[in-house]
Amino acid sequence: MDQPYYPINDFGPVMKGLVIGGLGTLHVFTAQFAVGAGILLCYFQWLAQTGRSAAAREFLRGYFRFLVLVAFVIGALTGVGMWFTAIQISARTIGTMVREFHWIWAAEWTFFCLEVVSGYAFYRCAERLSDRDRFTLLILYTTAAWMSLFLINGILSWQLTPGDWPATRLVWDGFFNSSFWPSLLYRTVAAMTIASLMACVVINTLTDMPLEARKELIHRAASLLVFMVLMPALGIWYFRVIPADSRSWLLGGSAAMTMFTIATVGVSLLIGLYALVGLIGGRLYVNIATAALLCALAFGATGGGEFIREGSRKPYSIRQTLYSNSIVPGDVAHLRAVGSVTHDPYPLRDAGQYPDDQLRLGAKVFRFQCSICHTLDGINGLVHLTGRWTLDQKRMNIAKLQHTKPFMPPFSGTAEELEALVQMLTWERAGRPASWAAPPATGAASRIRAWLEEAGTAPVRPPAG
Amino acid sequence: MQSATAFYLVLYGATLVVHVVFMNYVLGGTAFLAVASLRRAFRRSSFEPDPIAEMARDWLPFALGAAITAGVAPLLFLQVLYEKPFYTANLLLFHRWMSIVPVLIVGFYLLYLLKSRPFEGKWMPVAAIGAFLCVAWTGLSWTENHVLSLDEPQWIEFYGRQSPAYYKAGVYARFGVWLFGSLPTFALMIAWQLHGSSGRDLFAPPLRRRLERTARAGLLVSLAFATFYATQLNAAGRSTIETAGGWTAMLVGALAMVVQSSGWSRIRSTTNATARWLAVLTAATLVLIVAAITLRETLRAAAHGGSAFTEAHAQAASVGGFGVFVLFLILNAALVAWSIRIAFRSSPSPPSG
Repeated sequence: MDQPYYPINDFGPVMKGLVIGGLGTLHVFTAQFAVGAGILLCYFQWLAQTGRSAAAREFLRGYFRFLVLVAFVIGALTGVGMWFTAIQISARTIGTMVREFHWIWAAEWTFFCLEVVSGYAFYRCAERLSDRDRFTLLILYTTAAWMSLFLINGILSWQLTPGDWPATRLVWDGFFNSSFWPSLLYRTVAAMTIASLMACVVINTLTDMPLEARKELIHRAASLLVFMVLMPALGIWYFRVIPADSRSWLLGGSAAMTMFTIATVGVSLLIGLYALVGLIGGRLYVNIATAALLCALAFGATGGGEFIREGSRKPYSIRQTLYSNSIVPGDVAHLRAVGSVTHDPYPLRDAGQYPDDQLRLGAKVFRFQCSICHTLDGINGLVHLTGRWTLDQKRMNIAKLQHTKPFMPPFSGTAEELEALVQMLTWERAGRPASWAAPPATGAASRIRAWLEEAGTAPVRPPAG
Repeated sequence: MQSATAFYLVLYGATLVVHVVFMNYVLGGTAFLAVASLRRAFRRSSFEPDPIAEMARDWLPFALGAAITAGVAPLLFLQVLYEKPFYTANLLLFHRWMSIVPVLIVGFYLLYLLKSRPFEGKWMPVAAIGAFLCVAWTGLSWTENHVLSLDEPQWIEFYGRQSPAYYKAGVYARFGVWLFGSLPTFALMIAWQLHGSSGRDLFAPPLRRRLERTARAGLLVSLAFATFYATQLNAAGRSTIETAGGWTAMLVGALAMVVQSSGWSRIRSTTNATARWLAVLTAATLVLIVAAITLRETLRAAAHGGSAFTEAHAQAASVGGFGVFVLFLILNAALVAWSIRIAFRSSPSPPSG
């Protein structure tokens, strides 16, 4: 084994997953907006050049400017930001993804280039171009944007459903995995939804345009929302192909994940019902406040979807390959023998605050194995989660972690490290006293070893990849 | 050097050159705009139009978008080449490093504000300086990240110290090289743009003189910073640049600087054959960038112990997908060219270049 050690940062009371989930939501929302906007723009250009809508041309100008100011700036920079944040959260995960799929990412980059050049060409020159050239540029832009979604979707869905890749290590076995198509189609419909709702906001800002013209544009833009009828079927398809254990976290196995699922489905349903019954069926006019509210709901649904995607992978960050705490499943047994932090060269930044070496060891174990998903006493804080447990309960529950909570990875350290972690949590719970006399622990080490042995090193449910 | 390492280094270098060209336009352009807007603010009587500043204001948002997009590929290959040191430097700099994302978003919007006509007036210097500071902060952060990634013996102590930044003279010296080194590229690209707009007589002699002065000052000051940086290198670094490869890169770079300097003299003094001299300058600029990148990567490879990552590179080279990348690279390069052709078709005065 070759366990790489990276310096680990403390995010304070904020759970690291919330940081990457938050930025991910913003990025995915703007990136999907860019994809859907391309489709919408092509549609409106077609309406304009075939004489079906006189107001479409005016809308194109305003909407594309909005697209450039939002997606070309925030979308592009949060995309780079996602890489940097992924490094902060789990360098080993992003390192593995880059190593295995760098040619896919490189191919995606060629589409970024096309997207930016064709997009800016339209932005700068559209007024002087023929309809045919405008349409060509928009088709190029849209194809590039959607292809970037196609390519990144393969990498992201591989994290949860790697297919035959763990056995063959063939990039296409991983890329065209079982959740690839439902995920891609769902995201495409989501992209059209976001673009359509954003269009409703932009149309309301075209105050020089007569109300009747704006109404017509709203109804045209809303026609893309009709594809939302596919969302339930695509969602069910996705749920059917993801691993059974992941599905179980979302459908009752984990309270937080289940709530995310219910909220995301509920919000999507609300938007869908309003779109289908109100906007399309009833030809209602949507004012800027309602349009903005619908966009906010879509943003919430996007966020929920991202948290579902992140959370359903547990206990892995890459299924069957890497646990969420950056430990390779095959290394657990070795780390239990030699210690998980024995070779960690990075010191504790607050070493002086701990009364003894055992607590310092516990703090290092927490930093290495737990801090990626837990804080000490902030969000998802271990001090709170374990606060009512007795010492032996802590020892056993952590030793048999994958049995205690099946979405947790197995504990990957020695019995001494586990005891140090237990003592550190107890000391934290006691208010971090200046001196600490560990409660008597007769036979604790041997009990921990027995529990570790009993728990084994494998995850509790067999991978169903 | 193993073939896989060389392969990724060539890809990294080639894509980095494209990024550096746009980056130089943004860094040099915002610096130029900041100085120009300050000068204009202090000389209240002078309201003559400034075609260089106008051109920069008009194109800087696109250039920043292009720089970010072009930067994705070298960032990708950098991770393949130097995963551990790059990730470690990212983690060690933490907030300081992550700040470049929001800062660059602010900078991007400031560039759009500068481009918008209603924004002209007393707030323009503020926006111009703000945009420059945002871009410069990003550049300084990258330099800091790079230098820290080379300084492996310092990593553990740096982590324990929890310092917000990596203060070292070498960081500022390197940043000086990049900052002032961006000016010749910016001047050259603006010269091409003005030349392309010559139907409106924008590339007049006074503008040529300004661009020449900008480019030459940039070359001279960046050379001074490069010399200072060389004095900051440790013994291993110095011995690396004193190898045959190091000397070759430095000599080629020096030659490219001489060609650039004399090329600008010709641009200033000639009214004919401007395109030819701009082409010569372009070639010299690209050669200088390639030489600088070669020297930089030679130093980096030496700092990491030459063959430290060869096994990882060979493993990375064994994964599939290269064919798809090449296919899409060719296809999309053609489509990019087509998009540009369509855009030029619309232009009332396409560059005659």
